[in-house]
Amino acid sequence: MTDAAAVTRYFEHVLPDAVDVAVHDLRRIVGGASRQTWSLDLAWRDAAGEPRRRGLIVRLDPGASLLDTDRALEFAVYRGLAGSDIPVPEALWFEPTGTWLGGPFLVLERVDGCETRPQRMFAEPYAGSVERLGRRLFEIGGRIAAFDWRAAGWEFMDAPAPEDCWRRELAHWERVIEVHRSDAQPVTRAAIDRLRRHPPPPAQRVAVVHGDFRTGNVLYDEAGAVRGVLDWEMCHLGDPLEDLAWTCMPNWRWGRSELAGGVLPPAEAHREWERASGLRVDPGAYAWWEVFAHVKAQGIWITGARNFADGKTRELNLAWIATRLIAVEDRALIARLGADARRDGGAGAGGAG
Amino acid sequence: MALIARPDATAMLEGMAAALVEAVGPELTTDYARSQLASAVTLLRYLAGEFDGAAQSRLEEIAEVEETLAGAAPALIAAGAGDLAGRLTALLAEPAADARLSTLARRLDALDEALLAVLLEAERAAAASTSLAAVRAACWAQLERSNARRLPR
Repeated sequence: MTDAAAVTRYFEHVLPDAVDVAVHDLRRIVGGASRQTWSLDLAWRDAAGEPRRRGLIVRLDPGASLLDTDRALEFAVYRGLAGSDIPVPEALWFEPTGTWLGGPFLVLERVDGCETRPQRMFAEPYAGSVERLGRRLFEIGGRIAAFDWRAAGWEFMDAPAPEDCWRRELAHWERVIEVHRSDAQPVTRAAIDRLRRHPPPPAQRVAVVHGDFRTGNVLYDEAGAVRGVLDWEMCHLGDPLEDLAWTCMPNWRWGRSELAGGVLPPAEAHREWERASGLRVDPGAYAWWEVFAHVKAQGIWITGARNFADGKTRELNLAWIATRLIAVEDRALIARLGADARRDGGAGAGGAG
Repeated sequence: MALIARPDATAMLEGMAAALVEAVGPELTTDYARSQLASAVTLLRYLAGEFDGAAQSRLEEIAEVEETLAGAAPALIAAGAGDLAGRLTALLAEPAADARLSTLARRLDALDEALLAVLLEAERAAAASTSLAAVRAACWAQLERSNARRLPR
């Protein structure tokens, strides 16, 4: 999608009363490895002849990516959260076909004056607000868990029974891994087996699970405020501990290995989340979801690596994932699951955690 | 064969990375293009570091996994998993084909599948069998060694 004329034609189509529609500063931006992300300024004159201008983000499905997810569902989630206490950018249009830009896409408002890149959190002008940002991050995570999706009429989401949340997610990611793996992946498959044999207790509440809620997927500002939660493409209903364990996992600590999300000590992060969600973090259940987080991450990396190997994408960071991150994830799983075997020669089967 | 000419493949890969940084990088105008270039350079340097020792490392790993599997067979037979032990014996008896990286990868993949089968058997029965508990520990130790080859500490 480098053709500004094609983008302009699309906006002429969705803004039939607009005249002098023009696209300025169309550029692909870094981030969002699962989708192509483009920024642009749209200018037009409205029906009254008044000049209008708006910053927009286009999230375009490429031929392949880290994930194979449902863009329509993501758009419905953005719309469904508008006006709630969970900040999201306004979702403006969804185009399900490839007619205009070669693939499905959605158009969001661009929230200016913010940053998403986690590494920037630790440098000026953001460094002084990291702790506040951390508290907001986990507070919003708790609000997502508390969001009343039944009252909001989210019929587009399939709700599992509390005792089935873990089973459905594990089966989903096992299937993703089986479809995309290019080699045996013994560590990940052993982890799946262990998780299945030692399930967690039922979810305390069947809640909205963002699916990729972490530093890197929120828009933050200099004051440490979270201005928007992004990348809802893996959103589903399930056990809210799935999100908390994902947010806190070592992958998203950005070199600050003692801090959940790179921003807050884990105990404080859990307290903020518990306060906002009204739930408690059960240690046994949380341990299960911690191991599951590594399996899920492995599913994402394996999918991206396979798509690169098959020539479906030329995103070079996916090749890097294939060479490094799959081994990183394996190492984390070995440290968790091989520990009791090493300690006692396997005298006890141990738990998932 | 260009790969064994001088400069050799490692030097060529390192040279390509340097050329991209020095000649192409300054010409790029967007953050996205610069991030793609950075990924290309990182990959080239990684390949340069791996290229010379890749086949040797695979051969060593294959030998380690074969040894782990051979050590597991008696415990499997004693625990009543004779079918699995028989499949291991047949796999371990297969002659080496050649030293192409693709051939070595296929061999290692077959061995890893067998290692997983043994590990899952041992995970289920470790509490009831001291010998399978030891097999389980050996499998995890092997997975840790294999991981260390892919991701040096």
